[in-house]
Amino acid sequence: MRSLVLTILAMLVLSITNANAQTTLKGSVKDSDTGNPIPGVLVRVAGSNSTAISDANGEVTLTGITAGKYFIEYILAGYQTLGLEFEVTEGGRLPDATMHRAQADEGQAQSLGEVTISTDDLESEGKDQAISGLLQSSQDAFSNAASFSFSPARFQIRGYDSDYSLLYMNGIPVNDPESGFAGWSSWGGLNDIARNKESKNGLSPTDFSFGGLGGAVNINTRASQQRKGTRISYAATNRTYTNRIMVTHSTGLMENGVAYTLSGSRRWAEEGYVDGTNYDSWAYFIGIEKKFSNQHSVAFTTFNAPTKRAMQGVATEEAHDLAGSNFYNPNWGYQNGEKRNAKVRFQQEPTLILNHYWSVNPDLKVTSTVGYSFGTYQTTALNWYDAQDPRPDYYRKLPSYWYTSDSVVVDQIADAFRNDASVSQINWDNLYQTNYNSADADGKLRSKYIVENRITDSRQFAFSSVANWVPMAALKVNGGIDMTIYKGRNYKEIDDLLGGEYWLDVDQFIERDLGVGSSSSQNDLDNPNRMVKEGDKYGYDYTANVTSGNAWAVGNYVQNEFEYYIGANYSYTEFWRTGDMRNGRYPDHSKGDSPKKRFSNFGVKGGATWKISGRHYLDANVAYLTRAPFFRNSYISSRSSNFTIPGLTSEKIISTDLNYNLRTPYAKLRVTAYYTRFMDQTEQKSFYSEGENTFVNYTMNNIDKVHRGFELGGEYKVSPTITVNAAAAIGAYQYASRPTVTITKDNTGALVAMGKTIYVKNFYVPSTPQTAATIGIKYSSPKYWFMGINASYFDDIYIDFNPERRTSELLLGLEPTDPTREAITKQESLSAQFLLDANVGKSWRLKGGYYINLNLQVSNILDNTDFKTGGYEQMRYSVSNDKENTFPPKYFYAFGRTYYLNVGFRF
Amino acid sequence: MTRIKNIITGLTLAALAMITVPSCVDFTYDDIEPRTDSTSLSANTTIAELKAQYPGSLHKLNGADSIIIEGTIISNDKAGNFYKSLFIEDGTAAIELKLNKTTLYNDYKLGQKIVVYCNELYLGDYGGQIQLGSMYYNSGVPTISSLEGDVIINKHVFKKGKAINEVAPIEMTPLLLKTSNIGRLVQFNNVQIRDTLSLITGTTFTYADKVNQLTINHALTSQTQNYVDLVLRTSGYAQFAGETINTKQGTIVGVLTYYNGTYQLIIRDLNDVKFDQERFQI
Repeated sequence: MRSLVLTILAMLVLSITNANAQTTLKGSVKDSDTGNPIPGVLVRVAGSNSTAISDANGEVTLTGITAGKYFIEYILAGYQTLGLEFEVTEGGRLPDATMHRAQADEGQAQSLGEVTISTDDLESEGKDQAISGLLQSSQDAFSNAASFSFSPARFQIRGYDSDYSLLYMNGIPVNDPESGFAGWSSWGGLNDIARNKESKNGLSPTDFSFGGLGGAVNINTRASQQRKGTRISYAATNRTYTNRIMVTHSTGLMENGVAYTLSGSRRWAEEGYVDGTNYDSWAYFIGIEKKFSNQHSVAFTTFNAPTKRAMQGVATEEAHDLAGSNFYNPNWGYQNGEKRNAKVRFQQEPTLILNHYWSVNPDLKVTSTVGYSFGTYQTTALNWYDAQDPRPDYYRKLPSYWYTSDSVVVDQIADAFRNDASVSQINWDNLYQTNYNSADADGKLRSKYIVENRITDSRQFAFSSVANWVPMAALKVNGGIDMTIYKGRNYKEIDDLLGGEYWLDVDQFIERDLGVGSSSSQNDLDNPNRMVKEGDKYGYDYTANVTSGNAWAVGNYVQNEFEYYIGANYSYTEFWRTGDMRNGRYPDHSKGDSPKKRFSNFGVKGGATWKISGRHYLDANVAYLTRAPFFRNSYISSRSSNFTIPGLTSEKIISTDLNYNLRTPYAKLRVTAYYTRFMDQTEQKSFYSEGENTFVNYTMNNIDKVHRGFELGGEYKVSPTITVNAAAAIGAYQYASRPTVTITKDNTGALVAMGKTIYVKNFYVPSTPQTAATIGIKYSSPKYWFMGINASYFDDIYIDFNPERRTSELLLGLEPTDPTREAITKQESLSAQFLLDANVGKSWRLKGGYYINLNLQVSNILDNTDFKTGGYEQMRYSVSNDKENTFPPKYFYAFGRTYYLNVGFRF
Repeated sequence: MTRIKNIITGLTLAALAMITVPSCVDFTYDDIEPRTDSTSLSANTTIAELKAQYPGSLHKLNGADSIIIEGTIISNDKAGNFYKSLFIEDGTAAIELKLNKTTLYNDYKLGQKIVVYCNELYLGDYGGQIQLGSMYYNSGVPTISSLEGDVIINKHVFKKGKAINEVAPIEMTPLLLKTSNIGRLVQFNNVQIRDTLSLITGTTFTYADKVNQLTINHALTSQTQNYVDLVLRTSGYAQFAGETINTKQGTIVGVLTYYNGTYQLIIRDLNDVKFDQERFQI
């Protein structure tokens, strides 16, 4: 660390000696209609790391620019992006920019990244957390395409998981410390206030963070920078929800130095696009800012978005075919004539944030933040004891399982699935009647079927402080510290006994393996054979404790033709498990605090931009990062014991990219080549093993991956009214090592395998298209209406694979020429797909400063319902000569044709 | 001021709209009420008559006469000693009904009367014991099998009434150990398990091999009667498979099954073993 600091200092000193004359430029931004100043506008100098945000008076201050010709962009959601070519002279001033409102409020028509698919199998839980780049809007033609045109295909920029992009809300890190996922849904429905944001893709430096591998986004909800006025909008759609009402009011900075913003929304659906998915989400936001002096402002923000929704399930092709729909949802069934879904997710995270904005002097700004949030994340699911599997698409219930039976009988089974909802969906009536029929020896009803609720209650405290310092015109130093203290209590609760009187808190798989009455089968050994009722905790109960601290600094140095930056961070992470139940299998290793795991990590990165001219820029970035493992991937079975996985280690990442940027008033273009290598990744799964006939815990170590490829994004103004845009991502994201696996039996802890090799080198990283391209054309009428159409193409999508099928043990006894080998080991790729989207909008200005806008977006116009966006092989697997795999893969599909109609009213 | 009024009016209207319009999104459900299924079908054939129709090899039941039988359940798979089968008895005889479904006791209680609509079902046998079930192709050869899951079971098997009337076992004598009593609930008095010690390990036998999940036969002997080829048969999957056998003598109840000349007694659970007197010497 010390030598690194010295290096940076040495570079700074060296560079100062040949510094050119630098300039600090001021300017302002106004609304073309009203002439009012616009706060919150992101002002960016193309090809430079210089950015600024306009303040409450619409004033912009850009630092670190040398004389020369530049292309400057003004970006704000709800306005047309403004690009100005501009000659910077010493002591000059930025042009007074005037921004035009967008023809229609395009940002309104977006739903923030929604996750609606749930998987039954534990192994895939979490992976369905598709990140959508929706928040990274409109700053870059490629990101734009990734956000809008590519998101239905679950496209992930450069194939990175969402935990490699860092998300901040007013400077507070939002990524879940337990799993790393970026929780977009915390402010679902608060689109109005989440418009102002700074985002950077890839390794480029930001002012607010060291940044992640996939970039960083900071949502800035400062009340003084929210657009003044009131907005009311209503949307009708047929996606995950069907209606949305949203109201927002911002005062702007008032004469008493106070600004406040209030926002509220409700989104709901009695049934969404998929059968049996009802949806009810509320949201509120309150932001208050007080400017005490030119130096000090304090802002308080609080928000919450309690959301309850029924989830979509995934199924095999056989079930899709029988049901006649690729959106067949096995999660629901009729109860007293109403559709009841067994998988209902409820989440909320009330958050309180206090910011202090301190302009120490014109060259030094310090933003300090404390935040506290207390959330809950709950998902219900069916559970059962010594009874038939209640899932309607369980493999033994499908016709294919009966392939040796009389075809007449098989047809009867298929017909029943096609025509009888009590067969093709959950049969709630049967579950209730079974419970009513299950009196124990004392005559009490012991439920055979229940709905359980898997809950994570989290508490998080966060502190951060960021300084933006311009010690001299050519040099800008950003740096900060932050820390978070997180506690996430994970447990299960009985949600519904379905007519029964109690549930016995024992593990039935252990009972089956080791016999009824074995102490190992007790989930809570200190309260054995507990009869649990609705609302009682059972099964498991533990707390994930994660504490981390982080310090970072990035220096940007500017010359006439070149611009450089270099940065470093250091982080310390400590986590441990606190068990609240003594598990019968691990009586000495499940209750109380586990030993603490500690990790020190660092990252370094640097880059340079060559300003070939005011229109052409070339830049390169390189980084080496290490990252502590996440709690969720670190324990063999965190629900039952303290044991961490063998070989727990930090992940290492090396990454580099090279970019060419073109900026002219008519054309924007970016071409990027990138290369990233991940080393020492770990994955943890738990599943039912056919071979071992019991649940196993499965830890893969030594996973290396290489992600490389090209990105291209461009926009060309053919005429003042017609714009053509295009974007393409061509990548190869592949495994670069043969991971090793350790397998233990969950019931006894016995070791099944250690160091077993998984032959997946050169396999593709699943569940994102590795090739994606889009081209579109947009007409913008001067009469305040627009229409646009986009065609997109996706290819090279691979499904998630079962590592057990890629072991030498499984192939034992098969001749090298046996075609079964190929069938077992080959990774399945999904077929290329094509989507067509269009949107149209208009806005009207009424007397007295009232605006109405109307926007209609139609996605997948051709109603392509055969678009598999991903899937996974089941971990259960059967090999047989006379029959197809009994446990075929399950697939997700992109929605067919959907629309989003939004009417907004603003004053 | 009008502007402020407008703002307030707008906000109020929107708030009202949010609260009132969509009150129909519902995540609560009324419990389903308890219900008793009961069929109105009645038997037109006795189990003895049905079994008499078995020609000695796989036989499909169809034609105009639509055979319907009725019987009371005498087996129970709760303890795991019965697997995917129900034994029903109607006073004339008993038969094994093969259903491809586990945890049958959740739906079919001991003593429950059921009706079986036999059209399209098959009669077959396993080692000489007649079974009623479905058919599958065993490497291409039609073979008796179990009814294929709930969809098919619900087409053929119906509960009749909700009364639970457990059948009294037949007290056995060597003369009663005959084909017509196969499948019935029987009781042996003054019997014991012949061999109690493993010659290999020197320890007392368990009912079955729980560890390797193997079924085990233990010969039964009587103090007063001479039973030849009578065994107590227990599945390695039974919950009590790993328990040491009761070495005393007394009464034992179970379903009488048969395999190639051997009569096998299958108990529902350990309550069927009432060995409470000192062993007798042979």
